[in-house]
Amino acid sequence: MKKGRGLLISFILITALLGGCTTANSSNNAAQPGGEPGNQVETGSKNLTYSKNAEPGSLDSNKSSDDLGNEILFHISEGLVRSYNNETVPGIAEKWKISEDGKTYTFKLRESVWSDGVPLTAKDFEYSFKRFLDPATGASFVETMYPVVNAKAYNTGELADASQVGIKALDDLTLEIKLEYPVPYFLVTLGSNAYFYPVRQDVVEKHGAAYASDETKLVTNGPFTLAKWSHEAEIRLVKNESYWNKDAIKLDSITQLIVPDSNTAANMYDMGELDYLGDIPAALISTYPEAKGELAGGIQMLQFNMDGATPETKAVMSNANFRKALSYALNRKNIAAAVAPPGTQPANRFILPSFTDFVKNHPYEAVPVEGDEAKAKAYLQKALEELNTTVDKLPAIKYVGMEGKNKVYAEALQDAWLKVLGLNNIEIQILPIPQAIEATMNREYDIYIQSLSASRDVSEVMEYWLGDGSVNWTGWNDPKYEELFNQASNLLLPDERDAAFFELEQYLSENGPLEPFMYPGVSYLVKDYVTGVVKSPLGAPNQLIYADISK
Amino acid sequence: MTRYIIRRLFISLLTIWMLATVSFFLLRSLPGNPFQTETLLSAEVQERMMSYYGLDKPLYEQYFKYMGNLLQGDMGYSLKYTNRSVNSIIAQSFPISAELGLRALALAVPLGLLLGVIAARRRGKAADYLCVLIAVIGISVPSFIAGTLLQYFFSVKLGLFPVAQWKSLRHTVLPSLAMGLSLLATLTRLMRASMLEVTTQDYIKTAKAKGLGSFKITWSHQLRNAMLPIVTVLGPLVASVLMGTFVIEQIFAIPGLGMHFVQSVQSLDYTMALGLTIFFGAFLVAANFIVDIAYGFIDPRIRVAD
Repeated sequence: MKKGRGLLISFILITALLGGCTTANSSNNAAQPGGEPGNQVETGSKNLTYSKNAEPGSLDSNKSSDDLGNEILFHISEGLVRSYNNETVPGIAEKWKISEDGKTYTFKLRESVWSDGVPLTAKDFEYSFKRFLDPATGASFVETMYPVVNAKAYNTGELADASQVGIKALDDLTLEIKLEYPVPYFLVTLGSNAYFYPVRQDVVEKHGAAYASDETKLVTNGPFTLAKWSHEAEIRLVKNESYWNKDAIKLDSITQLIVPDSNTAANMYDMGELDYLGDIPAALISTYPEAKGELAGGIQMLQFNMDGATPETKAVMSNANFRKALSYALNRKNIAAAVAPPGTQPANRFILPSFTDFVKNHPYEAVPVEGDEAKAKAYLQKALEELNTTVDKLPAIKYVGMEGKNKVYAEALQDAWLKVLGLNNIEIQILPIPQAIEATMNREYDIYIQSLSASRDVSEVMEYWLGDGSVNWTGWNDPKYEELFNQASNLLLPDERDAAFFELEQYLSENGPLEPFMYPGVSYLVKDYVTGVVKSPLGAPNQLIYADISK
Repeated sequence: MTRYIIRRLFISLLTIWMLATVSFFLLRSLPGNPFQTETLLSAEVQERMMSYYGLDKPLYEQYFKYMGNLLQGDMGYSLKYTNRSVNSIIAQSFPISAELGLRALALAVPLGLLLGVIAARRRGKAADYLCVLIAVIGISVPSFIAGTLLQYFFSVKLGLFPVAQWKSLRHTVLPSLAMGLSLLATLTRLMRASMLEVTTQDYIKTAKAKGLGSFKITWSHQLRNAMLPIVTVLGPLVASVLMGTFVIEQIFAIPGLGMHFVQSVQSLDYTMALGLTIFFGAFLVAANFIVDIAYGFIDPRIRVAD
């Protein structure tokens, strides 16, 4: 009797395990088909499917802080002006006037509506910009707006009265922005950053902290609207029929799939599940000889810590000849070809090649892209004499690398410095992103690969290294550099300004704690039935608003 | 029994509280802050963001605040996905991971146990070697290789299944297989070992002496006793399987929990990492609790001992 019951129990246990699972499965299956529309859309409509490797951090434009969010917002929103294909074109502002002193911008808005049909006014922009600056919002990239009158004071809490900030809706369709000092690239700033896309007060206040967390909790005003946001899976944008320029928009929808693994994304592209492969990893590039490459719009630099990670390395790292030796020892061209993601170009100066006029008028080579072994050795010799030491007696030098795209360079650099200069004292430490940044902020490094965006204006790459520059964690603080920078910034005539910044570039190259290293690139593939895909360093990495499909 | 359950419940809560406390302080002792992202923020802005999220307050103050919220079931907002609460992220991702886990288990548990029993009964024969071979392959081939291979052959080469995503029944086949394989192997190995251990017991000899058939011995004497160690591992195993796996979810682009576990720690998303740890911890404790109660049913001796 007892035995029988035991048997029964074990039988029940096992069948429960099996049965439990199968019933769960069938109910899940039943739930599936209705829930997901899939990426196959009805025939006749034009849908472009592509992938990104992660989910946007936020679609609240004021609080957007990554390219992923910027890219979605670029398609569903529109600011006063828009950076498209590296050019600033009119957006909601039809035209604008800049005062002679370059400090007052008056924008004339076109008549347009939000995606729910409510008219969009200059007041909406005033609200959005002030919300961006409001310390209670918690936006991170507020410093981009500090040139505006009283913006910094309001953001840091020194000034409580928002009406004193230099942003004002003069009437429904006129917006005035006053700057503290002229900023020649102010329009580019406005057009290329998601933080300057408008948000609407009533919608923001209705949803509070959960604003923009899914498609039902925001309204936008761009060429597309957010139709569906399945977190970590799929973001679906459909054409906004109330967009002012809707006739120029050819796609009916854009589907962005979240595919974390780049090999998987490549497989999906091969199988026709994606129309466009936006970022091919270096490991796969030989599979796709037809891939196109493009500069990503930033610069990677060797960053040296003048304070040194330790007192011993301080003397070494603050020696200009030693730094030059490290820089000249590198054959950037070979390193780029061997380990860098395709599209990457070796850098020989701080100003990006995308500033074509500047580069044409002011040719310069801070360091040859092939390097120069003889010069490198000579620099090292000089440094050793100045330091009164030998290669063997040099202290251990700490190279901090960041997990991610720059990680691949660590060993190539270590190898080059060993082979060319005989330095065997470079110690590599690869850290996760926050820890790597913490290490640079605390000056716990000697060498670091710094990767910064530099395509907004020629001044951008140089502004970082002012004594109080936003990310100047190098221990380099040169009053003369600061003086030259301020002089250059105050010039309004483009030619004079460029000449002054060219002088500054040379000063930085000769004296600064940095050496140009690479202009990072991206490589991508588009199916031949897709046209109008734009890769641009400004605005959003992938710009698909005017793309088209002809199958 | 009731007293036992109440005592266990109390211990479980204590465990979760300790887990939350230790995780809280360990996480916060990591160098760096959540606002150090690839796009650099100046030191001043980082500080301002820290104070905006109340992360500049004394640690104990933050701890009590967090615990207070946790008691009300509120795990706060993610620091990385700024408009999404940790609760909502778990609510969205967990069912997907759990479904994947259940599918893998549905495949692995019956098959694994069956293979284990066959291997033990045919010890030293061809069937045994075959089962052991399957187990060794399943255990030694990491899931990222199994997943990649399955994807390559069945999707890219043969075009039988979609490459990735989690949308329809067809989408779920390959990831479930990839995940089930190693589970199946683990269970086969365990079941075989456990069955063999039981074989040498006196009561099996007694049963044989009584003249029972070998099927009957396996079914009513061996299996039941061999199940005990299996149930022991099955609790935590099921819990961890349902929580999602980073690798499989990454390869097949499945929007589950597994990815969040890794990314939240890497990006120092304190609230997210902590919320996930507590959720996983609570789930694991619950699974063990159920296992302990299940023991009583499988083995009356344990019930008696209590």
